[in-house]
Amino acid sequence: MSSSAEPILELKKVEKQVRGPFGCLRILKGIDLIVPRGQFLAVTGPSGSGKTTLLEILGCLSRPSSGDYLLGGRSVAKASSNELADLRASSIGFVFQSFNLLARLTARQNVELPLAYQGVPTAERQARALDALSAVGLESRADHPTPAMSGGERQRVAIARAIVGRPPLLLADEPTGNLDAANGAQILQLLSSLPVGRRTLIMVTHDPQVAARADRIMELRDGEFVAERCE
Amino acid sequence: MIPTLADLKARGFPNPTWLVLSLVGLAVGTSVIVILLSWGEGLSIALEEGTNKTGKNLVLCFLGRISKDRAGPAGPRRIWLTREDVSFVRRRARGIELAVAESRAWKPVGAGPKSVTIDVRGVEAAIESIRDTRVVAGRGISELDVQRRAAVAVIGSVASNRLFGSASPLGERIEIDGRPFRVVGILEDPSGDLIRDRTLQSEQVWIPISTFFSIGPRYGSDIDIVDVLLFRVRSDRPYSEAVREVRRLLTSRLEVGEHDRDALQFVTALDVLRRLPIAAVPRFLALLGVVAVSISAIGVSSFMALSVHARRHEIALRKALGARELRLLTRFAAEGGGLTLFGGCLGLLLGLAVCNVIERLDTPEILPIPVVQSGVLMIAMGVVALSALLTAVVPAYHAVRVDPSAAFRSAS
Repeated sequence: MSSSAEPILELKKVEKQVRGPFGCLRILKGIDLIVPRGQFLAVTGPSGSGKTTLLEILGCLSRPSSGDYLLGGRSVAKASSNELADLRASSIGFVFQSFNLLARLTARQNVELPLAYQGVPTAERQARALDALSAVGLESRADHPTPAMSGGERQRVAIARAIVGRPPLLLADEPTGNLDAANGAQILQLLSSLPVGRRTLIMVTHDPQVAARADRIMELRDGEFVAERCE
Repeated sequence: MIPTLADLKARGFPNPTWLVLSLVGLAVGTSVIVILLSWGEGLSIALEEGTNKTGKNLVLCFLGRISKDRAGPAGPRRIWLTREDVSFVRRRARGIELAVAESRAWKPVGAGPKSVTIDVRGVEAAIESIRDTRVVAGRGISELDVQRRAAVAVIGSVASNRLFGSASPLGERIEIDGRPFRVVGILEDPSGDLIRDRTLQSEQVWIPISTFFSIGPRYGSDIDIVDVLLFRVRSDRPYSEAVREVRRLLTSRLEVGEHDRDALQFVTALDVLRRLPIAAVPRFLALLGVVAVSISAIGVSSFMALSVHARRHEIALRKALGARELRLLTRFAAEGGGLTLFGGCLGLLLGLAVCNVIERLDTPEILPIPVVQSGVLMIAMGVVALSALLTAVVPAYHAVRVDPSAAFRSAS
């Protein structure tokens, strides 16, 4: 799992345990992973294999129970809440399966959110949001409320929101899961065309056809990587 | 701009009707605090004015019995005052500016065929001055009346009504204890007289004290007994000092122990007023207002906590996108606290408006008018501020505790 390119992230023997009603549950069991910059990595596996938990740790939304996580060469396993929030705002873009757009905001306002948390001034925020919407082909619908948009359009707004902060790392959780085949294909095309240059995309999916577009596929079962394939 | 129910619903507030009801409760509670505390202030002022009407700086001295533990082998004995004792106090006490003797008895008073029992007071000429009252028609009891034991009477409005109905009593003849008197004056009807000294002034008939003594012996004795010594404390002297001085003079003259409270009892108008629970009522009701505000604040706070719960997915998403905890804390604290401040300020305005309306109403003089003082507003604003703090902290605390990974969990 090594790569000659400079790694953007590295997991070292990462474990995640949670306390449940029947005792302690090990969700991730000593995961090792190195992802080079610019790579499109697909993580596959059946439900309950730990894909989303892995994505949460990679997205700095939760901390590993043990092991270390290096993002951009910096250990974040024991970072404070504020440091993690700043990392999420500046370095990570999220694309969720159910879009996660705020219904009372317009498309542009949704896209502006990460920039607001980075402290970008309003005028620049609006310009960059329009740029991002333009990149996903929705510039003309910038001021539309998102509930009035189709599923494919909403996911494109979500992608615009993920890329607007120019984060080096994009994390996508089943981004086509709520879309029909045609819209799903469009979104995949859009996502696979994004990691140009030094942008890295890690996508969680259990659809082999979606995973087939990635540079590298890793299969997770019962909290452990069991297979790896490079395209 | 005031948000509508639809706006609140669109912003993710669950059950905005509940929020509006909580805010109404908050506003009503705050206004109740303002109204009742202001009413309490008005009541205090009315009481003070009533005290002044009863007689400014007035002290009443009643005599009783020497208490058992001070009586000695002869046993307890009754003691009394005479007009000479009153003159003695008048001459010797430096802390008082006026002293008047008064005797009183329930007497049968007749006018024509009517005969009723009335509180008849034997008074000196200075009675009007010391009781801070006046005669509204005719004249009062004069020094000459007292010297000549004149058969003249000054009558209160209620007593007059009982004897003469609506007809004027001036110049009419009445009989007290079967002895004829001529009505020479009508007493003022002080509606603010808050002390009922056995009867109200309007229910009394005043006659010269010397004539009172001549009507007949009382207590089985031929001594002219003065029932009450009224004296006015100099305005530059404290009540307690003047009372101590009069007590010392009288106990020495009457050979009574200086600390015998059974023998001499001093009552001031303020003492009487302080015994009345009426002044505590507005404070108690205002306390209920504080409780109402607190309960409403808890309502708003619970609502905000529920609102945070309903919006936890949005909060998780904002956190996932990089929102710092302090930012969320500020946002939700401002939302909860702002709503409470809004309700509280509405309540303040409502309270002030109600006070203003009551002030403009044509109310009887005896009914206290609310007096809004800065202290009242400070208390009300303090209660609102505390409530706002409560409603700010609780939702903010809940918002900060939302796990950002809920953004993924709800999505997957």
